[in-house]
Amino acid sequence: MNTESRASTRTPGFWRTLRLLLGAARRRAAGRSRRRKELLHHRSGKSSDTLGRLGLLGMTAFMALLNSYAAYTVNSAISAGQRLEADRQGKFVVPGYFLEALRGIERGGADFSKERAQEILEDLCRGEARVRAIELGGSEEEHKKLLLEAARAHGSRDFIVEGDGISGLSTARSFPAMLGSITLLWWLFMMMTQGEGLELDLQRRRHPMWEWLFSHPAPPSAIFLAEMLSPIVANPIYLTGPFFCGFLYGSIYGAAPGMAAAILVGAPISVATACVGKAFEIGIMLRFSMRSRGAMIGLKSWFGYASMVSFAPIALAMPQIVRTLEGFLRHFAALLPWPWLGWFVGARPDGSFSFITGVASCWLAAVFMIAGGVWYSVWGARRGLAGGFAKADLAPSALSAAPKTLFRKNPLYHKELLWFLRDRGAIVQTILIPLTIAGYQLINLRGIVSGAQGSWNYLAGAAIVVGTYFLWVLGPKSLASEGPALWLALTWPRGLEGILKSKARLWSLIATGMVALILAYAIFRFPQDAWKVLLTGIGWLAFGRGMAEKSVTLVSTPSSSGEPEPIPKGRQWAASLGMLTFGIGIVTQRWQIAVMGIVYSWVTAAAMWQNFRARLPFLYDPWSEKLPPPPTVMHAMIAISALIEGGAVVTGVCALFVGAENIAWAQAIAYGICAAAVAMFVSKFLVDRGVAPGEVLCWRNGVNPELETRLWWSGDGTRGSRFAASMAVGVLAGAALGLLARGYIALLLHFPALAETIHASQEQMAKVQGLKLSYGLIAIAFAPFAEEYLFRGLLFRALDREWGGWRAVAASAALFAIYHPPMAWLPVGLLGTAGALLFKNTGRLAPAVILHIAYNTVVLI
Amino acid sequence: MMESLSSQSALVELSHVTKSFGAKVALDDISVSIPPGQICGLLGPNGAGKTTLFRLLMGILKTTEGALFIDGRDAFDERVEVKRLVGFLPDEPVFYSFLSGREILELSAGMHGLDVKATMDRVAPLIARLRLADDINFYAEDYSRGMKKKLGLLLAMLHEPRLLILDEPTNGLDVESTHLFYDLMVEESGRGVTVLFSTHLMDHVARICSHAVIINEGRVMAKGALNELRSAFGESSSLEDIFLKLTARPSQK
Repeated sequence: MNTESRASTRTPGFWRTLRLLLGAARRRAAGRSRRRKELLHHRSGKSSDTLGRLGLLGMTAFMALLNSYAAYTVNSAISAGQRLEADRQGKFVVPGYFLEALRGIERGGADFSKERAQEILEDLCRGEARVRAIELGGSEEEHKKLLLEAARAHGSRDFIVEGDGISGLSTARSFPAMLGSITLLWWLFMMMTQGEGLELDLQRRRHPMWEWLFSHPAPPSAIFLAEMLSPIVANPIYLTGPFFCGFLYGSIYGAAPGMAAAILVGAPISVATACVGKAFEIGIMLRFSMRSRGAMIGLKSWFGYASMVSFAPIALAMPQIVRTLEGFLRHFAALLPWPWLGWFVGARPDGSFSFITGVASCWLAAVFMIAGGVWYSVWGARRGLAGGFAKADLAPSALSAAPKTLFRKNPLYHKELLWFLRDRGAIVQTILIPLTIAGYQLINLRGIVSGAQGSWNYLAGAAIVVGTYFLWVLGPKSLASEGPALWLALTWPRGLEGILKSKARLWSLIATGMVALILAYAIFRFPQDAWKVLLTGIGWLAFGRGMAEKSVTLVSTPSSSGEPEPIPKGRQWAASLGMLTFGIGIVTQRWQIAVMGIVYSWVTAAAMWQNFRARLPFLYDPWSEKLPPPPTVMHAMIAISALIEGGAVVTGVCALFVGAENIAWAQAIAYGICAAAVAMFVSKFLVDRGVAPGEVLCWRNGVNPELETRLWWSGDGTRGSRFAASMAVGVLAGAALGLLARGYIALLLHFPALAETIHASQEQMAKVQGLKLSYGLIAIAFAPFAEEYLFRGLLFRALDREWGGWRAVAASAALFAIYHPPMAWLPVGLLGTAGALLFKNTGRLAPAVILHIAYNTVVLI
Repeated sequence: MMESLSSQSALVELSHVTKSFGAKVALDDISVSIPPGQICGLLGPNGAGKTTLFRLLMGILKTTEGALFIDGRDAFDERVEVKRLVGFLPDEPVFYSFLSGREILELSAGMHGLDVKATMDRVAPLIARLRLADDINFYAEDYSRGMKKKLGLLLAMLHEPRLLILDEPTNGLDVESTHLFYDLMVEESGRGVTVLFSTHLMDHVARICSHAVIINEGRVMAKGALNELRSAFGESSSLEDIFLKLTARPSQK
């Protein structure tokens, strides 16, 4: 070290520090995304994450919409207030055309007869009454009577045109001004509580880098300002915040000034709200104990999320809400001045507006908010980074250690219980946030909610939606209680798999508790339908476990820097498969659809766990991660879906060529084409991954590798007689099952309701030309080959690797069955079972194909 | 050299272990075997690959090539079973923020399938010896670095494993605790437990280890019983001399 270099070190200034830290944050984000890309490339050979980019784009568009909608909400709040004001003065607020028409009637008595005028007036009032009944409640007749009376008594005197919303903002003490100001403050508060989104990054929040940063001779205010600016890039809601200001100004001053305001006002206000929000967080970090921080920040994020998703429904219901709360709210209008909105948009006392004043006051507010946030953080940090709290919270209280006997058998559950009792963030993370999202989904599916009071099935549907979304959100947080202490779990002879499976059990237990509560209420409300509700409950038990297992596969581990890995959208979507089918089945009271949802959900759970199990050992070693050996359950399910969906599409295309009257032939041709195409694609796909086509046709048990290379019809050579015998078993079993199926159908004909359906389908068969023949072609020449290849060769094999034993047999047979009409579920399920057993025990697919052919032949003859 | 020992009797066996992260090679063709009941010091400068080696042994990472065996079991493929044999102390143990030291021990005992009460009775003297008795009911997250290491050692020894893997066990400990740690390691090896630990303190290795492995930039530079190492590099040379000679790098001017 020479003195020269020592002399050249200078304390970095405020702006230089800010630039340095923001640059570092940007490089960190860039490095993260580069690493993700490298890993993606290493694993799958893909070099870009199109889906992720699309997701970000969609998210940004949604946030832009939300912020614009918030501006509309301000307007509608003011309008609702103006309407109430008019009502208080005994006037009716009506649309412009209504008043025009009324005045027309008043003026032009000579133009048309009195009767005609009365007719027009009645029509006019009827239309308006309908609107008022919807908006304000009450009966249509009543509203019409009131309107007619007023119009007949005083003409147009009692009617005024709808207020102009925000541009009609008059005095600060008025009721509408208060409503507008409250909405504005609500929006500001929502922005302040957004932070870096709902994915709580508790790890980094627990251990910020402040101590290290403050060991530098840099101005603390710059350090905190850099910290405060970081959410802006992380959360698109801040980037789209200017839309709010743009629309608000635009509705007063016009489009061009609105756009100018978006930049001039929107940008500083967005930055300011982000800063204040971060200052909240910093305050929490400085003043609260470690175990409370998670909860406080969680609550803040929860509020941000809840207020964000409630903007749309509340804006829609604004007139009703304002009317209901009118009495309560009016006290405040008189008590306090509400100039906030006026200041925000530049309203002058005389009712006119000034763009310059608005911009200036917003700038002042932004500067005040940013400076306040920075000052508060610096002041807090001066009083000690660690805070002065720790002593009171050193040991767990006797109270929270008390429930020792609960879950004593399972130390993992006991730990989870202690987490709930002690870490105040646990409730927020595992109950509050999942429930909020589930509730939001219910609002999205308004149809279910609105029907819930009238019928048991809507209530049961609501229970399923809540339970499913609850699990869907909770699953990815399965390792939240472990956090960085996960290393300890890796020293236990339990394996992560066992730990996550027991978490799935625990989550499904909690979700089942909630579903049970709603279902119990459903039984209480509709006692006559109790057995149906109970049946739904049993369905949920089957569905919920599968759902919990699926959602746990979405788990992400916090990296050493504390950032959670984002969940791939495709996987997230796959986890929700079957939910709508099950829910729709319950809501529409069609049990077969509900059963299909359950089966589908279970097989998806197996598929996701198979992939997850392959990934699980590499949670800390993504470089070693290998895809599970093909064919996987997921491959099989995709191939099956391709055949079914593809068949429908190609049938349509074929029908165009051969004409609608030959639809039966189109179906047969389409099935054949699709089956061949799917088989070819799957074979190619598997060959690319090192699985020879012959391997799918043999049950690999590792005894004789030479066997696998032979073609399926060639037999074993040395064991020719055995091959012939297994084929014979296939024929006989198929014929026997076919006869059984015929007997089953004959039995069903004794039930009048079922007989009707069967006869109808038989008539259909007879009516459409060539249907029977084409069915025969599909059932005997195509389906046995295609379906055995997909359901036994791919699906059952993969499921057997995942579950083994009877569960794999049952699940593959069940999935096979649900692709057939409900009436055929039982015999087809038996056929699937027999096929799977035959495949596994003879080691070849051929006997299963023969079985299928024999069965279909017997059934169709 | 160690290879002269029959590999059948080795408790820890690494055969041609290579581990790379993407393009970066962290360990390159490492073959080492450690016989039971020995204390083996793993030496190497920063970034030599010591922690990677430990994580491989714990089945947290998978080898790119080669395999690691603990008592004849593959450290990755049979990682769940292997955990019954191994106790592990990471470099910087982090604990559940909402559990006290005692509760963490109880949880770990339960997860190992041990009788919780009997285990806690068994380790009570050890807790006292480590001077943790006063703090054992406090939240472990608030422990000092040394106390966390002690709790980590307790956890590693809780299920009486046959192999202790300790990543820089004395890092952050005071002098007295350091001596206590080494006393414990010697005692354990006296009961037949194999100890594999990494450190930067040569004199301690010289004092308590029977074997040493020196790695540098992912390669084994020397391995074997201490006296064999000394005779190979000249009787007069200290372990520190050998280490510096083997890990010398051209200065980065």
